[in-house]
Amino acid sequence: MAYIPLILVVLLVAWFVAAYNKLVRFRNQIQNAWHQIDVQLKRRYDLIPNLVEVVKDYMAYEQETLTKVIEARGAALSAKGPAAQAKAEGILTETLKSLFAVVEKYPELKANQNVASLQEELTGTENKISFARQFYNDSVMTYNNAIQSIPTNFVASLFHFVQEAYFETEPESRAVPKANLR
Amino acid sequence: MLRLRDSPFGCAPRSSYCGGTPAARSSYWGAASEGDSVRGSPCGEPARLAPASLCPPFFLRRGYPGSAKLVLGRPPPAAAPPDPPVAWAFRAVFPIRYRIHIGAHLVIGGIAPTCPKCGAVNRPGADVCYLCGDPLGAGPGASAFVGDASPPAKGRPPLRPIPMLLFTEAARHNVRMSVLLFVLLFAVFFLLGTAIGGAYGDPGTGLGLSFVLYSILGATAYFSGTSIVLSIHGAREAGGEEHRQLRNVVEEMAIAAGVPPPKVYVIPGAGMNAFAAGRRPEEACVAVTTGLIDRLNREELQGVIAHELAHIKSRDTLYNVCAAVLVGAVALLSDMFLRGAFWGRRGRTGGGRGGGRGNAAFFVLALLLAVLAPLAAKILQMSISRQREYHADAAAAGFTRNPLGLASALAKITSGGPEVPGENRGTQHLFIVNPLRVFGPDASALMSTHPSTEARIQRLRAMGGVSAGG
Repeated sequence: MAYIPLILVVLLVAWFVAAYNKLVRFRNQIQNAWHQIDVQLKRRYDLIPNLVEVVKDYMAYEQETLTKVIEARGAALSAKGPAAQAKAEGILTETLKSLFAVVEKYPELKANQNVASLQEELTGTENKISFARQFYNDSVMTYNNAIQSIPTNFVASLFHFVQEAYFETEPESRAVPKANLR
Repeated sequence: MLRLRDSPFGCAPRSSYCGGTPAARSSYWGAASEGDSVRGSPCGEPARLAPASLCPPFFLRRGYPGSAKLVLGRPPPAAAPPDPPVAWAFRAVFPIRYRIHIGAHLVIGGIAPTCPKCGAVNRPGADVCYLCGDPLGAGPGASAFVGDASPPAKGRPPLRPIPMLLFTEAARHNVRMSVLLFVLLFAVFFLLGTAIGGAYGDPGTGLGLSFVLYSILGATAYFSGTSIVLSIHGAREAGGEEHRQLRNVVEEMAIAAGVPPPKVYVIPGAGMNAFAAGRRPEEACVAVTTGLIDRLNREELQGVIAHELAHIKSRDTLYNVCAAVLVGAVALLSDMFLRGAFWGRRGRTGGGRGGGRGNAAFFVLALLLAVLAPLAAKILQMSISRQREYHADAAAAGFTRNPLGLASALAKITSGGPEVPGENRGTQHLFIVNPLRVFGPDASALMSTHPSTEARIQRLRAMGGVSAGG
């Protein structure tokens, strides 16, 4: 009978430690998820020159589109700071979309095996980028939930765990993109 | 329990042909299995959907905003009585069941066709408006296939209208239900052990021994590998250029799920099916049949892979092994006890410490449990399996944010045939659709490893909020 307060204290301490560790885990997952987005973006940068190289020979009359793509890639690589980077990434996505639309116009290009596999790779990469962002947002939501829920919010405020921000899209990129079919 | 005819509002919708009231298990109730006929009243006229505000059981009447507006040709009553507290309790414990039940009264999906002339809402599958007799024209285009506007084939029961359902809520509900079922399974096991121990005089030892038995069996089952399952079905590694899209899809979904990408295997075969195996996400694998790869488009394939990854992430393989071990242990214990009891050990009073009377009570209890427990355990295990399937569906919707893709894939799999080379009862629960049985109306719902595919598609479409016209 005399052991009951002791057991209660032990349980309380155990809960406290578990709650703190959970918050640490969630916060680290957010950091990880953010950097994973960068990994996927870098993969896209590396794929683009290959694609341009393959289509260049067929698309003699589409030099403008190709140049736009290469310039956008260069701008995205050299952008500094998250806001500028996000903006440059958006522009790169737009140019890639117009490049895909242009590729549709050339039947021999569509039949080319290299182009098909590269297109599949680029589609996969775009998907991975968006899923990485989605996972980042999910991690932020889980973390914010944990911080704001009742028993854990005491631990959070004690150790200064602050709310994290979601991944924001530029307002322009919310508009439906127009494929530049000329 | 309030029955259909006893409602204080006299709501039982009567057949306009013979004036009879529908049978209690007509599809009006919404909870019956898909194979139930829509035969309602004694004359065979299909049961009509009653207005939401008058629906028995009375405590399921309200709760969905705007539901009072959507009635079959009758205006809602002016004032509805307040809900009793039992209603709140019911809704809190069975949120999904409640919503799918009252969803029978909603017009979502355009499945309950509205008459263009008089505006009355008809029952699903009606081709003539019941109020004005106007022909209703072609059925609504809502179908299970994404991007396909054809209505369900003739002879299939019409899909019921469904309410909105958040995939996060669905996932949490399923987690709660499977935890509850697991606790019940453990309780059955340990109760049996204690009862048997009590029958022989020492309940404490009974409990302890059953714990030891469980640990031994669990350890043996835990270390059985996944390579056996893969070789049974003839799976090969998916390498090279031809499976590039599959590998890309698996990697994408692994990113969305936040698990390390599993190894990808391919099963050569014309049937369409997929399974996931592996104790921990780090050593997991996913296998897909070539028939599935050939016939599904990219978003459907994403849905299927997301379902498998959801199984991996929530460690369903581990939980299924635990449940199977428990069921086996329960069967073993009850078997041992029944043999010991019937082959007779007249000299068992040597171990009796609880006194003759306590022994007898325990003995009777143990006998009863030993007969019922294996069956109860099996039923619980199948319930757990079904809940985990629903949970994997909801989690897959969370990963792809596209529940309709998975719904369309499930529809294609059932129509295309889920058979797999090497299919057997040992591994049937691992697949996304059970390869051994096509769920017809005579399939026993209690003892099946998977919920019926119609129900799964319905829940996924509820999450997707299928809008009118498909």
